[in-house]
Amino acid sequence: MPGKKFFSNKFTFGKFLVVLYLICFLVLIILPLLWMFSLSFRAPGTMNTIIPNGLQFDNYQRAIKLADERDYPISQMYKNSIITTFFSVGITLIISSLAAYAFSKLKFKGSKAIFYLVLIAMVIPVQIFLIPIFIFSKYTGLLNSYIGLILPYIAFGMSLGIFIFKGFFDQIPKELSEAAKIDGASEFQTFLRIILPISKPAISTVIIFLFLQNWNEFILALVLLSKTNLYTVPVALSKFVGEFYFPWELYAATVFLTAIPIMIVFFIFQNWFIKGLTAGAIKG
Amino acid sequence: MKLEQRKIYPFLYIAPVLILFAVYIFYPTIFSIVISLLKWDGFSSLSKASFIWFDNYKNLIKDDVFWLALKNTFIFVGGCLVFQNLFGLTLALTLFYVKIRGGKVWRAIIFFPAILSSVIVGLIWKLILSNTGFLNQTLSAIGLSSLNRVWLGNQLTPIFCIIFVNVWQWSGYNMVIYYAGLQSIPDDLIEAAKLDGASWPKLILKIIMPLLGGVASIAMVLNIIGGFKVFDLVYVLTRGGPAHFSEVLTTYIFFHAFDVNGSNLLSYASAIAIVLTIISFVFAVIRIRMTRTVEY
Repeated sequence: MPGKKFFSNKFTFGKFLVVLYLICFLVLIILPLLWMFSLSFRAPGTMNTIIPNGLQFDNYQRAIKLADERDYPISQMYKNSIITTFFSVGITLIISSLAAYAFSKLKFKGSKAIFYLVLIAMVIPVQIFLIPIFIFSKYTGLLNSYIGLILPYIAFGMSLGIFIFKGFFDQIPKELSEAAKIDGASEFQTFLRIILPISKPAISTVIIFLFLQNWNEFILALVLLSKTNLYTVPVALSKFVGEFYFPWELYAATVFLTAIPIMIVFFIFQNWFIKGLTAGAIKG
Repeated sequence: MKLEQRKIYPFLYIAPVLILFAVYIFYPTIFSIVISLLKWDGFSSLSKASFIWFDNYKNLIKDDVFWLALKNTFIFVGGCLVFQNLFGLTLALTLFYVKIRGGKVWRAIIFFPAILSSVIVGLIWKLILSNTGFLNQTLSAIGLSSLNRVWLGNQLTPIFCIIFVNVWQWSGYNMVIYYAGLQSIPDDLIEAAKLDGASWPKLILKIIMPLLGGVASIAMVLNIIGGFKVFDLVYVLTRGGPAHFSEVLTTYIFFHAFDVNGSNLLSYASAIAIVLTIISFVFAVIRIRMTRTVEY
């Protein structure tokens, strides 16, 4: 719980300063978002005032229409993002939990070396692999396809998955899986029926981390996709809003059309998000 | 012999990972090194490319923009490291030890920018920092119009604006990491020190900070690694411009490899990528060693 009782409830100058600092920071976070939000309700040509004069509610409809006209339909970019994120996160979960199980419970030669090798992918900038991946995708026909984006997303997400799962599996006492095996369960059944069901905290950490990573991923999608009907949300936004001349009120409305859903999800599940992302950062 | 007892059995579990690792991480690393020794545009057939060995690297040394990008990268990493940790730590201390109504909501709001994509954050700030944007409007309104400038369109301010926006986005993330660190400090330790009459500054410096060491080093390395990775924000805000003044290594790689105005020399871009690899590899190793030693 925020706010331990170590600081007395009495008014002190120190507390006043500290709270002032916090308020300044809050304002700094909220104000830019608020200004942008207010832009999205303004009438054309009224941008040069700080306080809005009058409200216009159909900017959002106009933004959707404009995106359609310029061949960047917002529903299509959402569809692309949902497909790539869903499959990449799902498959990463499966293969990284399997691999982590092997690294944690099945001792084999070279397991440590392979484990650390895989981990390196977690921390090296993706730009290093970008050019070869582009060439490889070009020659294999994977450019401009969902699968061509999903595969590298899995490759760059699995290290984190493996790391978090291994950390979790290592803490599960041996007796649990041994008991299952005495009852006649195979290794794979033990993994599936005993280990996985008690690994929910690890699973949710991996999901939340990879969901954000892949949903927000930009540079791979920018390089590997060149057909507008395949663009994910960040790429479409950068091409559509970032590159054309754009009326500000529609610029703001388009940005919020892509930000509001994730905002709502965040504020509903905020504890889950913060817990998962903190655990992912500290443990992974 | 049962499958489970065979030596190959564990490899069935890691096979998908190994295949993807080979295709998307191992092969690209080797291939990058090879391309960086060639003269090749990436469009003509690879068999026509010729080995020029270290000429790409020699050209890099003579390339002023490369040095500028390297300098900007280090300024960016340093700036973000200092301010994100400073704000992260102080915000965490405030929210954890001072009883404030609605503390949880405040924490969520400050954290919120971290879940937005850098593209969205970049687009929001691009408008704020633009010529007639919110910043210049505000400066004019409070009578400081002499400070008005094209924030992203001159030689000096763009890289600092980019640092500022990055700090805006990620301070909250650092805050929750430090917050988790504070939660693991036993309450009685603080109570005991308070009973002994320790003042708050003393308490923070002598007791809390040393106990936060592990978390602090994780936060720092995360910021450093994130700093070397920065691309989206720079790309959206300035494209490395104007005239390369806000270029960082990642955007400079992109410029040479994929930008229509660039050289389209994939081999040269690969040489820059190798330099970036070497720099970030050091921190990658530190990061991995750290996760081995710190237990939570």
